[in-house]
Amino acid sequence: MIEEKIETQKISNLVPPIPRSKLEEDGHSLLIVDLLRLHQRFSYKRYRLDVIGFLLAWLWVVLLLALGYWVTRIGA
Amino acid sequence: MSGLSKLDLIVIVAYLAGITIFGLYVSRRVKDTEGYFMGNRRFGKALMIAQALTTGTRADYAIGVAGASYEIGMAGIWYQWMYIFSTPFFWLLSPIFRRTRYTTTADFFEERFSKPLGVGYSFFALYLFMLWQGTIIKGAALTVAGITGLSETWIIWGVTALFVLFGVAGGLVATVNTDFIQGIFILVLSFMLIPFGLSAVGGFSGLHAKLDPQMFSLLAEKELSLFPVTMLVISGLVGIVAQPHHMAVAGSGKTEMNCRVGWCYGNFIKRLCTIGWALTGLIAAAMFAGAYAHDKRELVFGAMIKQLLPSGLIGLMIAAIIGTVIASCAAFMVSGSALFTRNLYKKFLKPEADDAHYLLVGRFVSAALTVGSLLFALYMPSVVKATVHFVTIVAFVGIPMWVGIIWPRANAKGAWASIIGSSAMFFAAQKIGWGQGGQLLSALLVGFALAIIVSLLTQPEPADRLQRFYTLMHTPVGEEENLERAGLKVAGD
Repeated sequence: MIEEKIETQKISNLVPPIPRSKLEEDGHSLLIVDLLRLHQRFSYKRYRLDVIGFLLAWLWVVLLLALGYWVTRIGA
Repeated sequence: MSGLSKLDLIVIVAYLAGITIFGLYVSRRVKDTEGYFMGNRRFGKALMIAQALTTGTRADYAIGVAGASYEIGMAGIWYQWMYIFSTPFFWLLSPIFRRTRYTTTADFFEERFSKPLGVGYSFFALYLFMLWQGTIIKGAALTVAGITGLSETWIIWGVTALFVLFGVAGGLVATVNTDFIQGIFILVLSFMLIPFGLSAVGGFSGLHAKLDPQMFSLLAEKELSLFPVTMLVISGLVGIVAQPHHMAVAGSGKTEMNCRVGWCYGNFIKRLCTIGWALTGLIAAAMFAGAYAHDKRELVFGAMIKQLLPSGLIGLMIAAIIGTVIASCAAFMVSGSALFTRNLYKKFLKPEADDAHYLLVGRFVSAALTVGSLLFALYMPSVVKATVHFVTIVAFVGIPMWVGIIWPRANAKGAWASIIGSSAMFFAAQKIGWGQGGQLLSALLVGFALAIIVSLLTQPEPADRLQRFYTLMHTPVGEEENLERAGLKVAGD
């Protein structure tokens, strides 16, 4: 039986190679986990979910702040 | 009896009976510890949102914000809204929790750093759970006693018996499955007083006519200034990862997306409810101007319930307050028993027992933890002050978690130095008499500096430990075959 070869990636000199993930390459990479090597690794494609969701969440923050302000102006 | 009408009592009894029967019914589905502690990680987006909302929202938050807004105006909203700027980070953090596949936060400290650090964290978290539960029960009992005139001690015993029965039987499955109902009760709690209150003060225009324009400003000139609030936001974000129940709140979803949506948007709904709490406080200011002094301001929420709500709705409001206690305390109780069973009992007392035995121990410990929190609720009058300090200290435990995730060079010695050093700095700054912002800033700086310096001066963690941890971090849920091929066993297996 032929053993399947695992594709690996190196993330630090201290950490032996770890399996490469197809999902990570396709948008599921995590900004916080990769924070110290983002300058080499960042691409929108890799961090798609983190980037879109994070920006959308900030939009919700702005909307909530606007709603809070609007409530104080009703009837003024 | 108790100043409540028959209709109020029927509403309360119907709610309590319904929720208890449901807990017992769901308990039939809980067959093992993974099901009890993590709901077998099967929860969808809606349940995850409900779980994040109900576990993180308590009646005393509503009462606190309404009380502050009664005195300082709309700016009182910042007592809870200070965390609004941390919420987008929940989107980034939740897949990290899910990807670890850990059951408790102590697993993180043990797997990433060392066993003693995991044990130390377990004791810290158990104490924290008891203290939190004690405070929640006490806060709700005070309000319900204020509305009904019933004995506070009896309310404490009654509410505790209820969530023990509910949580011990059904574990996380019961807690999360009823979170939909509890979530609706939180919305009731947040917004029900507003239409009645506005009607009493002549609508929004009447509210503006009765109050000083400064009361409508979102900028806090009194009590809450920019520097301490900024530091509370930062320390809140640092500490959020180390709060012991967040492994279940953020990591029990079926997929990473469920965890992201649940934790982030469940908290956004809470921020929306906060607007309702602050508006309730403004209405109270118009209704009871000058009637409550600074140290009594949190009584306005109960006073509005008594004065504004008709028969039946008072019962609904009391059920909502009790509902938030059950939701939070049952979740804390289950997470606490997971910590003890998996990280202390299984590792040090009885490593070879079968899962049914650990499930029994988990249920027993759930009940025992509650006895501890009951003692806090009954006998510690200064528990609120103690909790404020304790919650601040969570940030100091959060520092090594952040550093440990981001930086492979971080090690256990650096983590210990960071926790001890930042706590010592915080208490020293307090002793010297620095302000709250200064205390937090100095403690965080010392904590991060020590984590980095001590790690650099000592040996890194063994390569196989780092390989195991970072393989999990880089293996999204759905690619478990990569873990199997790498020969990796997940903590708790």
